[in-house]
Amino acid sequence: MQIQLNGKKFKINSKDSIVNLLKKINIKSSKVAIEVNKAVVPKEKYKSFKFKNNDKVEVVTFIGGG
Amino acid sequence: MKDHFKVGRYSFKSRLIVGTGKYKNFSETAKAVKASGADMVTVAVRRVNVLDKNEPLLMDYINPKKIRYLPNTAGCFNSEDALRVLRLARESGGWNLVKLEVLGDKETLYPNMAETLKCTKILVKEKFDVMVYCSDDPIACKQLEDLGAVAVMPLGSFIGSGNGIPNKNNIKIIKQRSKIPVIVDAGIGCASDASVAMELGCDGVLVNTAIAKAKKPILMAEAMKLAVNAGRMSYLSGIMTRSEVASNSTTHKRKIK
Repeated sequence: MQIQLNGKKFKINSKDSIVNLLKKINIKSSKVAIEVNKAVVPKEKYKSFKFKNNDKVEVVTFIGGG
Repeated sequence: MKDHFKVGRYSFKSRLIVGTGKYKNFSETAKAVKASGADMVTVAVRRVNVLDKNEPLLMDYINPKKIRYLPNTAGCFNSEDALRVLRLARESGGWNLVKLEVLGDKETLYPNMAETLKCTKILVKEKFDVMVYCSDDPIACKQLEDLGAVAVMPLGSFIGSGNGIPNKNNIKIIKQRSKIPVIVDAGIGCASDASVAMELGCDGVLVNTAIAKAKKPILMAEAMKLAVNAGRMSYLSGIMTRSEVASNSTTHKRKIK
C-alpha cells in the first residue's frame, strides 16, 4: 500500500499506525502535527489511526519564521 | 521595574518578540534569542523533511517549554491556508496563542485585510487567541479588536525592509484607540526604530530581519533588548512637551555683572 507523504509517494504496511510511520521517518510525535486528507489527526489517535491507500498525509513541524 | 507584558491570558517578561527566520543556522538563532531576552518567538509550520532523517529541528535548539512558541501563518495568501496551518500548529503542542498573517502579494507582503478579518472571526470562534499582523490602519485595527483578536500587530513598514516606522501618527492613534495590546510587527531596521515604537506607546515590538541580517546578529539582539526597555521606560516616564524655541537650562538669576 502507498500513501502520499508530504507530497511524495511512500510505501507503508496496511497495518501501520501513525506511531509506526513516525518511527520510520525517525521523528518524535511531540515535535510534529499530522493531517490526513486535510483533517488534523489528534495525538491521542496516533496509535489507533489506520491509513487507507493513497491517503494524503502531511507531517509538519516548526521551522524558523518571522 | 516590574512591567509585565500581558497578551490575552498570557504574561511575558519581555516586550520584545523575536522571529526565528533567516539565521545562518539554529545555533545562531538560539544564541540571538537568548541575547534578546525574549520569552516569545515566532515560528513557522512546514513539512518535515522525510528524506533526511537527521535534519536538525528548531525544537532541539529552542525549548518550547521555556520560550513560548508563537506559530505564524507565513506564506499564506488566503484564509483557508492560514486556518489549516494554525489548526495543525495547535495540535502540535497545544499552542492556542497564534499569529495570523494573511498576505496580499509577494512583492509587498502587505496584509490582505479582507481575508485577515474573515480568518480572525473563524479563529476566535474556534477559541484561538489570535494576534494579528495588519496594516497600520486605525479602522482595521478596531475591527480586529471588535472581532476578538487578543493583540493587533500593525506593520511599521514592509516585512524585512528595515524601513522603520515612517507613519508614526498612525501607530500612535492605533495605540490611543486600542484596548488590546499593539505590537509593531515588521519594518524595524535598527535598535532606535524599536525605541521609537515603544515611545509611541506600543506594548511590544516584533523583530526578525533586523537581528538576523545584522552583521553581528547576537550583538544586535542585545541592542534590541536594551532599545525596547529604554523606549518603554522613556514612554512611562512621561516625555516632555516639545518646543519650537530654546529654553535655557540654567537660571539667569545671580549672573555676574
